[in-house]
Amino acid sequence: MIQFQAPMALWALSAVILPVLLHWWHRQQQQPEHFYALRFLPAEETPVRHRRLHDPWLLLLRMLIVALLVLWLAEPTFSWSPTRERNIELVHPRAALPGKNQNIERYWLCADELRPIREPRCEESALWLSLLRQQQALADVQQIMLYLPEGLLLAGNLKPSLPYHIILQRVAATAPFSSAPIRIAAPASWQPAIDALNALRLHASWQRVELSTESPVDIAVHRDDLPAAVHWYSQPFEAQSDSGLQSLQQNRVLYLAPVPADPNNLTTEALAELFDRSESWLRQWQPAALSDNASIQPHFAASEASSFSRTLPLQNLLMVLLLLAIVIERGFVYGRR
Amino acid sequence: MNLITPAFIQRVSRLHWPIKRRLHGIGHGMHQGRNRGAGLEFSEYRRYELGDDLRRLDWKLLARSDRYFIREAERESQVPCYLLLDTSVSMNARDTGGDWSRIALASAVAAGLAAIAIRQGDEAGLITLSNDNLRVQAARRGFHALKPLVSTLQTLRGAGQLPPPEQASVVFSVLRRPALCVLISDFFDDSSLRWLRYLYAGRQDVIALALTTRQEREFAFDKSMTLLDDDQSRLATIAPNEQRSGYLQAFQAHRQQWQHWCTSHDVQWLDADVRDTPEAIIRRLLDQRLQRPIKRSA
Repeated sequence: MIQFQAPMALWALSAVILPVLLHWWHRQQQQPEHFYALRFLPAEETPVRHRRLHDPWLLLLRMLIVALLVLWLAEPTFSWSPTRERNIELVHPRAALPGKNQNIERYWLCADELRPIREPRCEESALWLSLLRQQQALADVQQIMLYLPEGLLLAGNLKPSLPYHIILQRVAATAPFSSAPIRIAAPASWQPAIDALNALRLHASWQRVELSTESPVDIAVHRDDLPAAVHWYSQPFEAQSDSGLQSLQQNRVLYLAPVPADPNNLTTEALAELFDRSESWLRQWQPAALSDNASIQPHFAASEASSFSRTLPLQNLLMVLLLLAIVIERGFVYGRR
Repeated sequence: MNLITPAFIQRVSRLHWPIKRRLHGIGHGMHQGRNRGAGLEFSEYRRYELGDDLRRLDWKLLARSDRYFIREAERESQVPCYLLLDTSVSMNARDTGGDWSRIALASAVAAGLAAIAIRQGDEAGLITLSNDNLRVQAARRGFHALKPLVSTLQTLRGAGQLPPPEQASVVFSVLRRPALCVLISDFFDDSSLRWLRYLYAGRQDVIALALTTRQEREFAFDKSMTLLDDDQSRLATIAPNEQRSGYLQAFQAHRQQWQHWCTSHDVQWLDADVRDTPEAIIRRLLDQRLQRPIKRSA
């Protein structure tokens, strides 16, 4: 796809009429004179016939030069998206190796790279973040078979918004997850939080994770998924308004805390206190991971997939063509004399 | 620019146009006729021969000299004058800076000659020679005959090519009588010489008026340019300095061939420039005519 950085310059394309006018004027100037005694002109001097043939070509060439110049000014770029046709399999570092399918490439899903499966396992990393980071490497991938260990909880709403089709597959974990990972708490009296939690609960059931039905406040999320799953409020928020509310309505998550003493009776003050506590708790838990990734938007519109396409500026190519055309045009003109 | 003005016609028609080749004509014109016999103007005596009309015997001379002489008179006759105009496309040529084209000048000369002929009692007719426009206006006498000729001449445009005479038999159907024929052309085309030959062979008194421009005579181009010859359908870009000698050689050889034929066949040939005025050309034509010896045709 060719795009122009300065599309207004394309108006100057109307200047291609200039060579036409020039030729017309020149032709007017060079009207042949009538002379009826040409029969006495020695015939060995052949009439210059090729000149008539050259003129239209020269005209076209000059129009081309003008058009190239205008296009050059418009700064065109050529960009294309790689076609997605590769299928790969990604294995969570904590998952047991599933049965081998010979035809499909298989990688460890590591934090910074996609490591080939024959190399040793890497450290665990945030799952969705890894996938996000690897967007460039996975630009031509159509479908990912993602092997996850049993007991790993997924949170967030990422799966539909990644540009490839992801199939989750549960395999045995090499090391069992602890029974009490981090918990998420929400005030049961506050309806948006309840909605968000319910969405999270749905999410959990999709991942075949058991949740206690009566608890509106507890949901276990693996700490690795926290940065992607949780929208973090740096300030206590007003319950009925503001961006925090919108964020909740998008089913992002909530806020994070150790389980409060009385989860069913959260007042605003208790909520604020909960916030403080959870923040300090998180800071000692893994502050670097959060602050690093706080700006990453896990949501991923399909249209943004094109930002992974490659772009090539065409100006240099146009300049070469332009110079070539000018050289040919000059050659025509001087060769005719 | 319209050259055929009433003033021009009036000026020109006072001129006298002598016939220099005796032609058969119908009596009582201004020209010396070829016919001899009874008439007003005394010509000569000749010896009486058996069978001569006795009415023409000069009785007074018989009484004086006792010899029989026949009094011969020259009969003055009228001669039709045909103006043959080449109206091929090459007649559109005009000199650079010239006010009129070759065909305009030729038309004006023809109109002037027709006016002279009609004023002196002869018949005048017009023939335009072009394969696009081959028209014959038969010779008529009297001043009313001049107007249609002039109106035709004023609208002539060059188009097509000069047809060879054998393709123009209609012309010779009106030229049965001996006539004074003026062929006005550029005489570039080979057909023009064949026209002269045909007219000469028809025992016509022939005048060839060749109108050329300075460029045609001298190849007076100073820079390279593109020339278009509609007559030949030829387009050429010339280099004047390199090609001038070759052109002039060919042109002059051609002219000499034509003129040589004319002098050897008693055809009056006059070269004129397109920028000359028609009156000047007519005067030169008549002047040249008076200097030529009278030749009696067989």
